[in-house]
Amino acid sequence: MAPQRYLRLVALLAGLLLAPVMFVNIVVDPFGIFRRWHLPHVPRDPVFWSRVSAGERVTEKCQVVLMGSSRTMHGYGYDVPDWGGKTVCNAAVGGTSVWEQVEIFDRVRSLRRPKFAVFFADFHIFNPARGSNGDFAQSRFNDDRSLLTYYLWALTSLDAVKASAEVMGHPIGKPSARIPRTQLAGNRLEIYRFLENPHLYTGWTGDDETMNAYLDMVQSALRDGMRAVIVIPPIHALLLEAEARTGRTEAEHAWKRRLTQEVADRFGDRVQLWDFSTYHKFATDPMPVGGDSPASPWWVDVSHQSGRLGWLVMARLIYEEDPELVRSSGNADVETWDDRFGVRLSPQNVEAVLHQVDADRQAWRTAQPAQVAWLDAWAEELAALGDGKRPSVFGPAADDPDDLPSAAEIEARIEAAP
Amino acid sequence: MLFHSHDFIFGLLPLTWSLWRAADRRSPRAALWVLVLASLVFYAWWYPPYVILFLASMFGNFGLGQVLGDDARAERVRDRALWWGIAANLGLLFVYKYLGWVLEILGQVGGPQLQGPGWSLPIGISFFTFQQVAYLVDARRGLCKEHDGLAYAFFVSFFPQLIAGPIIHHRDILPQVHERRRPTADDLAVGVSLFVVGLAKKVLIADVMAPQVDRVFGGVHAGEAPTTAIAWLGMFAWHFQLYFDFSGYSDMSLGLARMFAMRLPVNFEAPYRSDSLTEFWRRWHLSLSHFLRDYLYVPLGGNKGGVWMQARNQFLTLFVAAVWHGAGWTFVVWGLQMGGIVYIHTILRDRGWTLPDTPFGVGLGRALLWLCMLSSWPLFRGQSLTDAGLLYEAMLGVGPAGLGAFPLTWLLAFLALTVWTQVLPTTQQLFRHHDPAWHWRAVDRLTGPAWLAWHPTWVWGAFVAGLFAASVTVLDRAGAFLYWNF
Repeated sequence: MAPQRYLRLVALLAGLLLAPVMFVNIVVDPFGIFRRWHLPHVPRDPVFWSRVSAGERVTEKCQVVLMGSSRTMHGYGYDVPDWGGKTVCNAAVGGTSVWEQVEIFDRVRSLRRPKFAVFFADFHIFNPARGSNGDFAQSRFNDDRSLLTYYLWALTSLDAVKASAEVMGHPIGKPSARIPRTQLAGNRLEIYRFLENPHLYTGWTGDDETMNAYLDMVQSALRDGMRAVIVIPPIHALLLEAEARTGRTEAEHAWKRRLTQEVADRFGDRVQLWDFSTYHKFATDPMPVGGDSPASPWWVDVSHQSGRLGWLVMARLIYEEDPELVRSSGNADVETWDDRFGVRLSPQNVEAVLHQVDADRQAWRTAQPAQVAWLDAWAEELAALGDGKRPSVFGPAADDPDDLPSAAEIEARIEAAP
Repeated sequence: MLFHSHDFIFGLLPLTWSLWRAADRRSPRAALWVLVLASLVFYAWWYPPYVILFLASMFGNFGLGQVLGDDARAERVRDRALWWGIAANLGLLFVYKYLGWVLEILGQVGGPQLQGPGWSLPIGISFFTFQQVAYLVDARRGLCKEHDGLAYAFFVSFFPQLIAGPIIHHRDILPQVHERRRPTADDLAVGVSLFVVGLAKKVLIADVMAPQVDRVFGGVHAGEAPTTAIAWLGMFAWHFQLYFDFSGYSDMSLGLARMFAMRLPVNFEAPYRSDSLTEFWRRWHLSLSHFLRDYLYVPLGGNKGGVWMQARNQFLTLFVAAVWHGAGWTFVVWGLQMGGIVYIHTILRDRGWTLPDTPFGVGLGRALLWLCMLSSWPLFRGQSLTDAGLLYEAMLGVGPAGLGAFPLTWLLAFLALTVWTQVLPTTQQLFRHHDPAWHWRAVDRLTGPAWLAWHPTWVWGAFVAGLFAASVTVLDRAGAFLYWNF
């Protein structure tokens, strides 16, 4: 065969082999990158947990941007309702860190300068040892990546094919983590993760670096003329209780004190700091303790607020300045909150708020014995296993680290457990 | 920029090739300009400011080469210029690669507490430094006279060899530049095929090993004690990752050069098929071995002066080769280990203690070589001597984590790769009818059956297309070349 013909053959065959891959990735568009065609029976939702999807979300028209972790990601969903005619983009990503937040916000600023930035601050993202996670490198948050690489990856990569398969409901290999179908399973999983992986949930260690980096990020929003607010998102009392048992409450209190003082010193009244991680009525709404217990509508699980509660948090923030806008929403949930839902922290009230949190914890323990008993039982089962072992519902331990069950398998086993 | 990146494969490479081809039709000199400029873009992609350093090094050495080759100048002046040139080149390498480490040692032994500049290592500095030192030495010896600055710039910067070798010798490249051979379709077909084969080795084999390697070595660095099985798994995974990473890079490098009607010297010649460590170093990174042979081993005395001097010279050469790979105590100890084994081997061989030239002897030799390499990887890949110590403990079965079990999937994968490295023809052998590289030879007299040899056929076309398509789907998972760090 002549070399020219050989070269044409190689190009043609390679093109033919890659064509189906590209076709699937364009049609399914698992990260919402192309937004060109949508065939019937092809779900329109991009892979929500992916940073690639988050990177695409912020390329849309975006007047209000939500920054934060999985709590914000799940609490506001992909299609965040517009507020007062302003479009809202959810740029939150799961398992994030301060360093990653800074890079993501830089990207948001360079693309679209929103008018309002809501920084959801979690204690655990202030751990300096946390880095970028998951598919950050593949996303448009990664400045080192050219657009050519980005689009070719989205078109031809096996990663995109896997995401496409997952969107279509036919995961290849181990599916990615997802929210368990039942709240009880989700609660078990979250508390297991929290108690068994202290390194993942170690929060602020008292260092200046993460604190300064975070506040510099907020400062950059102000410098760009944005309105900025920092919000500590809601956490359910059950998880607060698990945190208390690991001795983390004091560290979290210290973080709140420092954050409050720094925000006041740096920004004065220009930036509000709200705390929703107290024992308000939604945080103490009972969680299911058995198979037939009702689920709480405010939570996905003990760590993640539901969209319903997320809406209320946003409403609470906006209510301060524009109560009419919130009232006119027609959402009956507005009537359900009370004064303890959301506290504006200041150097003057922070000690009183933290003292109240400690007192409320005791009150909750007394008022909710069934909840406490459920947590005790689960924590005891985990503790009895010893280091490196998993509860029986997760399956036997394996020598090969590759042989660990996937998050979805673990969840399925928890759900199937009595 | 990396050869296995989308930006290169679908951006710079086709653009450069098209411009080069168009320019070549008008004037070979214009084509050379295209390649030099493309090489500078290629280099700048990673960190643009270092292009200035690179250009300064290139211009400085070219200018010095003119002085060294000028017979009208006094011998003393030219000698002095040579030593200044070598010192400047090695000094630059020292500042970027070793200064931080040396200052750290000084601080540890009670000297002043100074910190290195903390600059990142300019990519390819170890390669273009050696390349230009060889040029200077040969210019002084009168073996090389290059007055064409563009040809010299091409010799140093040609992107297929820029980031991780081979350390090309001026006598291999400059004559090709002046010869100005017209490119043919065969060049492109051979080049593309070689490149794709190398790409597949890199992204479909080496990078599949990488997570296992990172897990084992990273775990040890984080204080985790591996089981004996996991420690060995890590060593084998690294054994093959390094092999296929460098083999893949070398094929890609040859293929790219060939697309532009150039040939590079062979740099990788089935090293795991060696019967001894001495033989291994003749097949692994040949261009580095040749450089050290010509510019260190021979000046030290080479084989002259009896077996003890020869063993000493080999020891020193291998020690330098080891420390060239990186600044750190692990590389120093690794160099002592490599040099020590070769030293002993040279003495034993001189006394007639050699393995019989039978299948058993050859097999035993190779088994010993593998054992030697596998047991040296904790030093080569480990981040500290402590990490290496923990791995040795685990490998010897005396670690705290016990023996553990070797996963069957990995066992089968390693067996398959062992067979590959021992039996299958090398890329050079497969492409032997099309002169893939300079200085290649048939390893173990094995050239493979005729039907397996590459020719532009339907079967090879389908195979290459399949490899390319499969590689493209995982390009983004690939890490940088391992030799990029050296």
